[in-house]
Amino acid sequence: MTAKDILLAVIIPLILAEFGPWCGWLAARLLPTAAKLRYADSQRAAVRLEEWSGDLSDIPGQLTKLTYASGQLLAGTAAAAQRKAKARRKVRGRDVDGLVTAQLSSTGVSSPGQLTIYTTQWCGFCQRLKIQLARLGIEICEVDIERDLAAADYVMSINDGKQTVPTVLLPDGTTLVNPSAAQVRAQLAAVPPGSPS
Amino acid sequence: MAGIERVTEASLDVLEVLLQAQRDRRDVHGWEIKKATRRSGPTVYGVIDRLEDAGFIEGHWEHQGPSDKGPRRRYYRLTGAGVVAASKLIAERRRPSQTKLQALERGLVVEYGWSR
Repeated sequence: MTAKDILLAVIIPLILAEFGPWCGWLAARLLPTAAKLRYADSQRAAVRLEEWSGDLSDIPGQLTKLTYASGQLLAGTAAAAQRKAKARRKVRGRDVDGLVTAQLSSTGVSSPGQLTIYTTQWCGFCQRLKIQLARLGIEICEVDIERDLAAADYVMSINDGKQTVPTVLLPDGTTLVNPSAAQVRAQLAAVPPGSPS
Repeated sequence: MAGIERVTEASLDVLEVLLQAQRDRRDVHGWEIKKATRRSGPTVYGVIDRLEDAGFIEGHWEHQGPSDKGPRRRYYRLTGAGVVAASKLIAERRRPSQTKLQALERGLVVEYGWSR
C-alpha cells in the first residue's frame, strides 16, 4: 500500500467521522452571516434565515448541509460585494453604465433643459429607459427613490400613493410614468428645453 | 413596478412549480421549490425575492404549536396577479410538450423524492 492508499482508505473516513457532525454545526453557524450579507433589508434577512435553517434540517447529510450553507454564504458575499460596488459608483455620481450625467440628492430639475428620472436600483424598466435615452443622446438626472425619501414622496404624490418607477419629470414640469424613450423624446420636442411653460 | 425585471430560466422553473402547486390547491415552501426545480438554494431564493417584490407571490409562516421546536417553514402561493403573469410567461416561453414533460417529472420528484 502506498501512502496515498492509506490516506484514502483510513485517514479520510476518520476525518469524516470526526468532523462530520461538526460540519452540520458549522453550516448552521454560517447561515446568519450568509443572510446578513445577502440582504441589506434586515427584516428579509431574518425571514430567509429561518427558511434556510428549515432547509438545513431537511438535509440528512452533514457534509451536504455544509455545502448548502457554503453556497448561501458565497451568494451572500457576492451580493454584498455588488451592493458595495454599486454604492461606491453612486457616490461618484455615476450610474452603473456611466449613462447618468448627474446625481440629484433632492427632487427637482438640476438645470434647465434637463430631465429627471426617478428609479430604483432593481428596476429593469428604469435600466432599459436609461440606456435608450442615452442612445438618443438625451441627458438625464437620476434619483434613486429608495435612497432619497423626499423623491419617493414626490413620486407617490403623482402616482396615487404608489412608488411607480420609472417616473420621468420633464423640464417643462410634465411627468411620464414608465414611458418609452420615444415618448420622452416626443414630449421634449413638443416643449423645447429652455422654454419652460 | 410592472412585473419582474428579468425572467430567467430559473424563474420559469419556479413559476411552473408554483402554478402546479396552485392547481393542486396547496402551498409550497422554498425547499420544495428547490427540490422540484433542482436549482441551487441561492438561485431559488433569489427568484423568490424577485417574485415577492413584484407582488407575484405571498408567503406565510406555518403554524407551530407550543411544543414544536426549530425553524418554521414559510409557504408560498401565487397571488391573483401572479397567476395571470405566470401563466402568460409560461405560455410564451415554454413549449407545451416541454412543460407537460417537466410537470410530470417534477410531480414524481415532489411526491416520491424520486430523481434520475
